[in-house]
Amino acid sequence: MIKDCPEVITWQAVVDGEEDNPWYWGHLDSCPACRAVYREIEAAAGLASGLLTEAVLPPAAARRILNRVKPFPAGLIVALLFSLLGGSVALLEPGGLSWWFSVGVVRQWGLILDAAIGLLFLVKNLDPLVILATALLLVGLEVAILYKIKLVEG
Amino acid sequence: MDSKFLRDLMDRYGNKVYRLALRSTGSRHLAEDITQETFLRACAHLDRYDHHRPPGPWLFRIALNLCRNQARKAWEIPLDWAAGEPAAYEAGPEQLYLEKERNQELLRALYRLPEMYREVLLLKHVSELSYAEIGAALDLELSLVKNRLYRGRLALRAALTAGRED
Repeated sequence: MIKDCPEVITWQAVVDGEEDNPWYWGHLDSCPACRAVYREIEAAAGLASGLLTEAVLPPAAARRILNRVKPFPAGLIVALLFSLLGGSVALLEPGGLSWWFSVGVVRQWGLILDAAIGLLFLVKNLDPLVILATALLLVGLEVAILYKIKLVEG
Repeated sequence: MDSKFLRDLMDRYGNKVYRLALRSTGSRHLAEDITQETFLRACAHLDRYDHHRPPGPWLFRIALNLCRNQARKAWEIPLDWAAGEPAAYEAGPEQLYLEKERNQELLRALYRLPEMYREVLLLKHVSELSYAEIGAALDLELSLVKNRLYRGRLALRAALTAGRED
């Protein structure tokens, strides 16, 4: 290697396309020692390039990530649930509120509903629309059951 | 976080972060978890991100930290067969099998390297970052990046040769 031969690290930068001065190519043509260094680095880089993979993030995983950071309309859902419950009370005749609180079963169903909503939050990486639909279904179920109880109890 | 910003980040870096995690952990399952955690952490710590700089190195730094934590937890990297999948191409089953074997051999050699070489190699050859981006992701001087890459490549070749001789 002659005095003005670039360092090994510089040849590596040429191999990696980080140095593109035409001088290096001219030098390679005239310097067998540098040519040998260049080829050695090229071979090692070629070997390491086998690490490259074309694997792609599964679309379901990508969707899950986006859903996890999407602002979750929890406040809206809770407000909606209360409105629905309030509305259902109004539908179930006057004096409904006292009736609702006097029926012991309500507490159990309230617990079940709370637990179900808690579960929904646990799996909140689901699409918010799915969660909202499930919550609505649960509320509907609760209202239907309460209505049935009221009918039975007269 | 602005969901459009996140979507852009996912579009630009989702696969690269996933590939880095895949090669780093050897498992598709763990790679998905790490990718998810990387973006969630990025969202949570957006205030630490300097908006004047490209987000890539910042994301890769988060991903690498998660990969390091994962490596510390595992006794051994669970190289699953699919993680060694080569680039998709049209080939016969026998050729595909040989290609997978070669790939696994290369990954096993990679996992034998010290972390400082392995990370630089992964960022260069899997995430396809430039020297400057690798430096930013690992918080290293450019000269150190070049040195580690050079030594890492030679070490990988030596580990591969040693693996074949075993």
